[in-house]
Amino acid sequence: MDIRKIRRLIELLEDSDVNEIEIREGEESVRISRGAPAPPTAYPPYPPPPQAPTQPTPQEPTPHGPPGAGPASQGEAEETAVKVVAPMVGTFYRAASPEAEPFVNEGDFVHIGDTLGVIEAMKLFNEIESEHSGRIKRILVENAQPVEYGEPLFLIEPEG
Amino acid sequence: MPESQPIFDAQGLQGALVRAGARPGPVRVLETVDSTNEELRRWGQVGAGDWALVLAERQTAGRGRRGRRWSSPPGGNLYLSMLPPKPATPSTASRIPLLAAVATAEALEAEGAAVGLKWPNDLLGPSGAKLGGILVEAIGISSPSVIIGVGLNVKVPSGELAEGAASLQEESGGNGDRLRLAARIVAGVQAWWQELSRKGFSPVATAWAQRALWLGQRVRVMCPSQTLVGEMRGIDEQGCLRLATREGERTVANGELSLRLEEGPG
Repeated sequence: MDIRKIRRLIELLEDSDVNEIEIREGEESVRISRGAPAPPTAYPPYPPPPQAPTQPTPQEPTPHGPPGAGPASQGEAEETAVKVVAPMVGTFYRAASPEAEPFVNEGDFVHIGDTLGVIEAMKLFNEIESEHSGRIKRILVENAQPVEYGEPLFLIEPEG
Repeated sequence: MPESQPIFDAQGLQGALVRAGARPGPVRVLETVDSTNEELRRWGQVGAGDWALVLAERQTAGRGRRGRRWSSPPGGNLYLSMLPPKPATPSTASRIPLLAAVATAEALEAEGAAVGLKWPNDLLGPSGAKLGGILVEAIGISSPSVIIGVGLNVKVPSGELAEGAASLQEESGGNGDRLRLAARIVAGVQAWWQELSRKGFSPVATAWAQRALWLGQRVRVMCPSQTLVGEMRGIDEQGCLRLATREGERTVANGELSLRLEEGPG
């Protein structure tokens, strides 16, 4: 196989979120993979309850809680936090581009209008702007993860 | 810049918009801009008004998806952005890129070009080269502002464009009257926007499917988290790609689509 083609495949891989590419041409084949093993590839089934974009957190603890935090203290602490939920189906990104720093991290203070993340669907990029001033209590989704309509993305502890 | 390419003027654009049957909105015509989407975003923050339009001869920081650059040399291409009214149902904003692709394809067809749409909204010429791209940005959650950006390679030769791109002139001939083309794109987006609000997504989806590449064929989609292979069935109500895979039908909101090369000799 042409070395230029292989170089191009590597560039393609680097440019994407794909972990491994295998190409077969006649009897030749080449497999290019990143250092890390490929993660499970299935989309997690997520129940998409249609709901208002921002709403108070329900009492039950989320499965994303930090280790050690008891359900009681969590419920109490999150009672005042607001959820930021996905306004549409798509892929969630924490940064503007693969090389850029995340828009926000847990513990950051954000103002109304600050960008928290981006959701891409059909090449529409929806910038998730904060509708609250406060501290980012938790980020509930990973970078480049598929999200459903209404899926919680962030917990913000309003301040001020 | 070639001398035969006059810089756009706002008056000429307004005239072309009227002739194309577009609803007139505020217009900003620039020789050089960082990106027409960025310019319209700044303008929108101080109240640009519905259907505001930015047109530029050259972009110094033209953008594609996820921070990629969109090659934007001067000398005969089209870089424009428009600001439609805020969508009534933000959760269905993902239909807008397909709507914009249909409107742009129709405008190109009116100029005599043959255009194929690669899901969701790439505009390809007869040779498979990319004639243009559409970048739609929405800002906000509950009531997002939407900016539709269109970049079209009209006259700039492929040697000056990104790899895999070609100009309308190379692919389809024609004189490529850019103001007329821009006005037809704006008029088309406006007309489809109205159609969408009156009749829903179905007419847009039908018009999209009429120009869609690889319907019914084996395709490969490189998604952010996996690569899928299957038969392309079409699109769903949100504009997601419907793919018949060995494990059943899957819908895909994001991914790079390509025709799957069949294994075998050669």
